[in-house]
Amino acid sequence: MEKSTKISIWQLFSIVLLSRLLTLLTYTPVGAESLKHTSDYFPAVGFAVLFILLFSLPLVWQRKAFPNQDLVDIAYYASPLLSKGTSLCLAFFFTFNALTTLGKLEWFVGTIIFPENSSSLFVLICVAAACYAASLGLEAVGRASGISLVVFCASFIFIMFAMADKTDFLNFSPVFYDGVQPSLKAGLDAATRTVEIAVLSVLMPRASGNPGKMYTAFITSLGGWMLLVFFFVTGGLGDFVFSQLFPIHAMAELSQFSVFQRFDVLLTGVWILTAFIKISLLLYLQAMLLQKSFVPKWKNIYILVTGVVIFLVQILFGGVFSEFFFGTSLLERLIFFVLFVVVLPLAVLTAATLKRKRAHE
Amino acid sequence: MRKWIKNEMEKITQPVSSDSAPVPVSRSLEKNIVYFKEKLGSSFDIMYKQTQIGGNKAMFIMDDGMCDNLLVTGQVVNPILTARDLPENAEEQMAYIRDCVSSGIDQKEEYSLDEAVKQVVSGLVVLFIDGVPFCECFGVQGFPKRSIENAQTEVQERGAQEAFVESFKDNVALIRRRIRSPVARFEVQEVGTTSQTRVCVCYFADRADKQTVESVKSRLSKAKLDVVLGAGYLRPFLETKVVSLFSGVGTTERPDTACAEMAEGRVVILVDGTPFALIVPYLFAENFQSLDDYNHKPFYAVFIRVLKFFSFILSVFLPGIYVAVCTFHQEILPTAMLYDTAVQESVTPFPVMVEAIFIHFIYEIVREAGLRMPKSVGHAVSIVGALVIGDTAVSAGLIAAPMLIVVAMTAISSFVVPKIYYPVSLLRFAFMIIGGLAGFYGIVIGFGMMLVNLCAMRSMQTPFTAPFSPANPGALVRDSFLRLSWKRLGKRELKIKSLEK
Repeated sequence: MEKSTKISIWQLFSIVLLSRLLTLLTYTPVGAESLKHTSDYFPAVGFAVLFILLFSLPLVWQRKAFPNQDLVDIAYYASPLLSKGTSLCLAFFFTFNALTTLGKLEWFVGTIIFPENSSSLFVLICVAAACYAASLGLEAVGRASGISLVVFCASFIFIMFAMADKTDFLNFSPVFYDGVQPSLKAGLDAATRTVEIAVLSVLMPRASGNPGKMYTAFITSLGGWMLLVFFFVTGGLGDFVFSQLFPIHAMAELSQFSVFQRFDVLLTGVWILTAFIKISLLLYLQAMLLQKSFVPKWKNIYILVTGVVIFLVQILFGGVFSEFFFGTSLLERLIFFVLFVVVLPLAVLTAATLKRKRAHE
Repeated sequence: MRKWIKNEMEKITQPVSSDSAPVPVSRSLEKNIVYFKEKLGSSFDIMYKQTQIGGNKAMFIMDDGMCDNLLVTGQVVNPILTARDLPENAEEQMAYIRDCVSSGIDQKEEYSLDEAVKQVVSGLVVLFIDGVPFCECFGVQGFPKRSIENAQTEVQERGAQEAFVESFKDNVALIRRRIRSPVARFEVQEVGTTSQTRVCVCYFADRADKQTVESVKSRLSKAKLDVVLGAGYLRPFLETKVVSLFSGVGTTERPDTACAEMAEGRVVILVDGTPFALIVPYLFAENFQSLDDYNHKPFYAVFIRVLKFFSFILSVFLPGIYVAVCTFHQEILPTAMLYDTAVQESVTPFPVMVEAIFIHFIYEIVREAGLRMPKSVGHAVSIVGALVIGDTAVSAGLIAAPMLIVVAMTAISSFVVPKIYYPVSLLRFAFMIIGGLAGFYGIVIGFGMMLVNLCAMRSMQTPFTAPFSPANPGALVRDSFLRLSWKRLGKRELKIKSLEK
């Protein structure tokens, strides 16, 4: 196994927060969530945070039982074959998420930015850039995400500031008007989009610093951002939120400051930058996992091949991955998520713990 | 393909000659002279003076153009030829000359003929005495050189005006004069198989990272070069492995800047024959700093730095954004501006992207011509560029007036940060192309790529983007975007090593 480079814990924080904020930016009320009242978003954020914490329990176990090892290393301890299987599973999961991220971006670009032109060139540029970034390694992506997070926060705070005078408290409906269940489901839905738990299970051992502090900061920041964004979105758009495909983009279109308008360009710019970082990260992760379990020298080949694959799949079957977000039921998505983020780590950790127990005996 | 190119290159080149086994100085004067003449050929500037010293045959060899004739006569030839009480034994004679006769301090014995040849062409006078298995070299260099002049590329408003010159020793003296402390170290090594160029590694022994100093020295010694005619020849050997338009090796022509860098624990490299020093590690943020910042009040220094960052962004992105806006995002422009721009652009024959690339290309040609021409002709080139090309091209309807404004703004902005002019000018073209093909969103991806590329770079072991990322709040507040007052800055020196975390 290759000697791995370490990043600081705050770089890891930037990576995962930025990655998760992209999911927040691309939030769409079309699909599984069944919220009908704007104020239900606020308790939903609380439920989302609780579910994310729940799904992170294997991560806590991993940290306690095998402090400086990632999931593949732990699996290797149990059995080399299990390690290869875990690598393949996680690589597939990350590649799939790269595809869905790209799919959503392409879908947005194709419908909103270049509705009359083909977005293939844009997708090609995006994939090529992500492959290049992934080939430069985790340190580069980590440092770039640190700067991008600052750009993201500055841009978004500016948009929300410009949106302040559009916020109307009459747009907020009573909380739990239809009971707790809709908020609960929306919270669960948001939690199933948090692939960053799987990212942490691979990257946490590669970060120097206190992971507990980082995780607390991640959850707190994520919750805070979600509340803030939903406050301005629902306060500004009211029930129109439910008729918008991308409500946060709609909010940016509405925001205005002095003679400056059309902040959606700023938002879209930040969105694309974040998507670029996320796709780069996911490409890097899958290459790193394959490199660990298969041919160590082929890192760039793995990145290139996966890049070509996701480009071709996006061009040929792009709609399938966009539908994953809009057409798949919450239960199906939950099963898919739990399988890779909860069941797989639990299985690996159980196998490794049993082997260790036997070895001690 | 790569193999084919390699083969084609090998056809027109030959390997750089490697070091052969050293030839020792012979006891026979004749043999030594034969070796010298064989090595140096019939070069007219090499002077041989055969004489008798205390009854032994002797020979002075010097390079006429490299030595100060007055020093040669006063310090070497005259005292030796008029010396009395010389021992009869040749070896004792040489020792007596070294210890009691020659009045110079810079002198040494050489046992290798190759080294002796090197000393002659370096401006030393070499003395051979028949029967002595070594020669004595006397440092009496005195070659023509430029006097110290004002800095040309790093002009300062309030600081010192001196700049480095080509003479290596003068440059060391310029630094030493400012730092009168024993911690300043100047270590010389030779680079270049044929040119044997002297390279001086300068650092402060108490704060430079030992590993960095050793790494610099090792990289320089491993540099496979035949001739080193400038500091730029050595730059690639000190660079990071990541391919980038930006450089992790800084340059300066100012001795005060070199001293300031050394005071922060960096290593400065002086190359003989070059009026520029190399600096490692060198960070991206340093491109936006100048010594004048430290001569002004901190508020103004901060303002200037923000201005420089803004100019950098403008010079890289403005043409690309203009192309993107005109091609894809017209709705961003206010209505009146949109109408004016559309009218202007509609009469030009080319698409906005082609027009932008064309006019920027023309601008670079004019700039390059103005730079290389004699000053008098340079002005004429500027006038032709500004009036004939600019004004007439707009009147003829070849380019739109807003495009000319963009070019002018970009050009002026790029001169605000002259240290990174070259990468900026190349990036500008890249962003014009990407803006024309994929609009503002393509530019964002381009920015992302540039960012990751910068973040992947390391200058020696220090991340190139420090202290921004990895973020170092102490360094950020101390002296990056912001600059503290000297009352606080002066108390502690920056540890460059601390930025690696």
